[in-house]
Amino acid sequence: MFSKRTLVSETGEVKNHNQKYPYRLNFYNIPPIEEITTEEFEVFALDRLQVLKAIESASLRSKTELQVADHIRDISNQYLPLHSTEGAKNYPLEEERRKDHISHFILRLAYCRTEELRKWFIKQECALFRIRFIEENKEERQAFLNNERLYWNDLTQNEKESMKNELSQANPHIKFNDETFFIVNFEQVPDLVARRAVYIKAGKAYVPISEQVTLVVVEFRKRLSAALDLASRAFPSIDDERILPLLNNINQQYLGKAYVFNNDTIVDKVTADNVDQMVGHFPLCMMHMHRKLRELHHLKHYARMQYSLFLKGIGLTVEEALIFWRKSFSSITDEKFQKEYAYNIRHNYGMEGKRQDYLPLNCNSIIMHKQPGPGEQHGCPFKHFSEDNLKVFLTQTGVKKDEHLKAILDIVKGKHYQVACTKYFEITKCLEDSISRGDGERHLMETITHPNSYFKQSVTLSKINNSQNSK
Amino acid sequence: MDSKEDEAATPELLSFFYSRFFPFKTYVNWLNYETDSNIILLLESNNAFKNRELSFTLASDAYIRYNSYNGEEDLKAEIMKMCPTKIDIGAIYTIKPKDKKSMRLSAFRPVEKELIFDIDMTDYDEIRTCCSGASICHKCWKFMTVAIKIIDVALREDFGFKHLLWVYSGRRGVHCWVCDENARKLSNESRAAIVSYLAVIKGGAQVRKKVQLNRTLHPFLRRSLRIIENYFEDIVLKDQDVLGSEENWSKVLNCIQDDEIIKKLSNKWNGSNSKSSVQKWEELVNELEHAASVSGRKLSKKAEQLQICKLEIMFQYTYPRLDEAVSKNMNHLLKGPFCVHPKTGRVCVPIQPDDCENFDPFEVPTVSSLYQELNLYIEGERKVQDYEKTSLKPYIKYFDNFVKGTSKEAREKNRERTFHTTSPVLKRRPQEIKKKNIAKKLSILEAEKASMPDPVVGIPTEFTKSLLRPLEIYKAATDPNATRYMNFFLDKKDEELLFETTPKKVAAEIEKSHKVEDEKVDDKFNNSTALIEEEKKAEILKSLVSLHNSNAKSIMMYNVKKTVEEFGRNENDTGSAEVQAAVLTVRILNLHEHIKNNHKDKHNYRGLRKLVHKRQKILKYLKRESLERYYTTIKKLGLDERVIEGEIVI
Repeated sequence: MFSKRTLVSETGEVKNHNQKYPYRLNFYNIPPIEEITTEEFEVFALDRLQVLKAIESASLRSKTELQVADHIRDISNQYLPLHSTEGAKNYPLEEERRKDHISHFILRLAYCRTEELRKWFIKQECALFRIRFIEENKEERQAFLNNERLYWNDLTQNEKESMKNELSQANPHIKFNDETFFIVNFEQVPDLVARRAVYIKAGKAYVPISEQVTLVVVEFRKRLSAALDLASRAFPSIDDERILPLLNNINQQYLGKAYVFNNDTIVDKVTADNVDQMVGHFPLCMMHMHRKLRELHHLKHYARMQYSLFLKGIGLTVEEALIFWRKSFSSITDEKFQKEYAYNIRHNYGMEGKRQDYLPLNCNSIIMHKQPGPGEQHGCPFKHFSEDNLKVFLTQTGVKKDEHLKAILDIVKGKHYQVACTKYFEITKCLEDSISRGDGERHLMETITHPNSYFKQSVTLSKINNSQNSK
Repeated sequence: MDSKEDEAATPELLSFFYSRFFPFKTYVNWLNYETDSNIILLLESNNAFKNRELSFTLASDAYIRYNSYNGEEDLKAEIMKMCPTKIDIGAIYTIKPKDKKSMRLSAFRPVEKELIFDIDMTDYDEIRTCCSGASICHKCWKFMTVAIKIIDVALREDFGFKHLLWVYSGRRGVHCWVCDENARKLSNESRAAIVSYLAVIKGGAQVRKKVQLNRTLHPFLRRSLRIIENYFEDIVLKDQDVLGSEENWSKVLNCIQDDEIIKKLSNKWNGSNSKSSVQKWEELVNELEHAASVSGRKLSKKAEQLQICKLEIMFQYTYPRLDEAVSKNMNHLLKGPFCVHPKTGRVCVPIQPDDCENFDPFEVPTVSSLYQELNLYIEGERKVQDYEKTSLKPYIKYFDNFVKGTSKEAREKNRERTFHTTSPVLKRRPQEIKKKNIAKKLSILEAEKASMPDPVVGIPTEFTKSLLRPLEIYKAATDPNATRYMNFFLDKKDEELLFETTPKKVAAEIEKSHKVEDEKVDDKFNNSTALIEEEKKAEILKSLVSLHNSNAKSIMMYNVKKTVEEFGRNENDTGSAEVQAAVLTVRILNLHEHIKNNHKDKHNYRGLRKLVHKRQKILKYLKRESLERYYTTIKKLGLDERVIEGEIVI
């Protein structure tokens, strides 16, 4: 295992490390064996965490791939610089790669504990690896892959010619003649299959070399998830009072602002009867579902889940929830309601099945998961409404000025749904003017990330207004 | 509209159906996937059916999840007892689902499940004009036909799946079970990928235009389009008449992203009801092409959009609408085939995908029709199964064949798999192993047979060889060099006395007496003549007492004496077990010689057998007494444990 090319400076030290870390990319197969201080331990871990969190928030903002890559490069240069072998003269490659290596393994330890943590960690690490792989130049990449012994079967020239039509139809953006195709099982490239970005025949996917990164990331993910499983089994044997608290502290950092569900909500008492009076404080998604519920006297499963958990979040108790839904489903007989829906509602409150106390869904999961199908009303209006419908809906719910309407729709076109929601909040609660006036108190501090926080802010705001008016 | 509509299945009819028609055996075979090959039993335990979740909906609408059964009888008994209105099939878990509560939750997870698809007519409500909700008619059923055609060919050709079971859901939809081994083992992620690959219609109730296509169609979409083109005019324009009323055609126009065209067309169509949908569609297509060619020079993107718009509308109105949540999760339940729909009473029968045009949901047998058919059936000569007497026969036959197909493939796969395992022993094919084992066994048996001594004579040993045989002795009489054996237990001492000492002594005495009577010594009568005379006498006596002049009985006695000397533990021992056995052996060998020459002597033959069995009995006793003596004895006698302890055939 050695690098043939002598790209490195003359000093022996760098050369040494070039043998330890010959490439910028790393599959993290071998754990680091050296001593580090606890301070370094913590710093390394937190720095890498910053990068991973940046990746997460960038993907939540639904930026384009290019924007995300730019953003990450900035953040990564700040916290966790990692340069290609070309930059050997300007940067301490050895240091950078060591830090990358060690920090990965620290986080691996911190994030192996639960399924949820593992999932989050794998997702962000894969994204980071993907960005780095794309950035890397062709020779480095190939050398890295050779080193890792990653090969795939090529399509021969004859076969390629015989499938010319299909291959170029499936990949319209490539230059067919220069492209090499790999043959893999379709299970290996699920995201290409899902996007219909690859030609499939008889269970084999024909992946163009331009999508090679997908194959590499799949491999990366496979190894990482196996390694995490291993780590989680080994974790209980760690008994080190110096690093245990550190590790515990690190994995608390994930998903920074999870909505904390507390019972002392700001509204006095929510009952089945006064939900209607509060609709004004609801974010658009919930308002839409409430309207549809009143109109159709029925909601489909995921809509019920999303709305019912939201109501739970604002303080509707299970008894009241049962009354609320019973009254709302007015066209359904008592018997049918008890049979088909009551279970579902109790389940949401953790009283049936595996008795999990579900939290209200946050914006991220509403936007990303469970895309509504035909006839389904759930989801985020900014994402799941067609433009005309959204326009109509916005107008109905208080966006009066055309300029405001246009501003929101522009944000939506940029795919920043949560920003659009925040904007909508500011417009309908007449915060726009106060912001321009510099009225700090009435300024909405951050982007909406949770329907319940929207509700909370809305209620607080109206309370402030009331008190000011009464003065 | 149909007489068969809404014949709800009563509990009586259901129990009748389960007892007479439900294909329990094929069901269990299906869900087992042929894991009974011997080699596989060694590799992995056969848990396919035992660990499969089955859920029941009872008549009371109670829902019982996580049932599992050991086999056909177990399942049948339970179903007959509970009489469920619906049987759902879930995944194969790591442990038996019924034991779920006794295990840690993390140990209980799904490992295998068919890839399933569910297409429900209610999802077509926004595009169909004939019915809505749970009801269907012949017109809208055609959507299902198209759906089966498109999905079936995609699963077969693109993903390479072979075993697809399409099932009518009993009321308004169809299910598809993809039973290939690699399909069953797909991860949730891969399942989601396949669904997303197949799903073209995306978006909730608030999105009007649910299909977004690229300019260059993926080969899969191209093929689907070819199928759609065959049906679009017939189903969407003629049957559904989607451009008929204003309410419907405005929905279509909303898919066009160009206000001018919408305005133009709606002005044209408003008020005039004379035009058919087909004509209107032509106008719409013309308008789109016209607009595209006009704007083509200025804005190519807009032109592209308009060009593809026609296809997008066609897809939106014809392409199958999958219930995606069903397919994405491995542990999702789906109603199994051959259930009875509780509302319609129809049996959930399989649909042949290549003949799906001719499938008529209203002609499907219902429980009550089956009941009548069975009553009307006239018993023929041949005894036949109940289902063969009714219209359910082709469906059950189809299902049987389908299951045979899957298990055949599973068997072949198993064979291949044993070929690929790392262990060199398992690398060989099972038949080869079997053949070799049989050959080995045979050779061992043969060797054993060869080494098996004759139960009567045993293997010749030094002892048995040393025994004298009458015929040999008699023959040796003329041979002067042969060893002489003496009769009457004469030993060397006796011989010396009789044949050496005595003649000399007698001769000497005769000489003496001659001298006393007659002092004169006769010259002719000298010392030696008397001795010669005596020696002649001795010689005669010798031949008289020699064994070769004795009878067989004497030889026998001689043998017995020798044997007693050989086997006796001390001088006086003539009756210990080993001596008895050895003496019996002598007698047996003797008698055997006789039987060989006189095979008609049945009487003595019986005697021989008696002797052999007696020896066997004695040796068995000896074994109980002392193993050491036993083994030395049988070794000397040339016998083997096998001819002593086992049954012996003489």
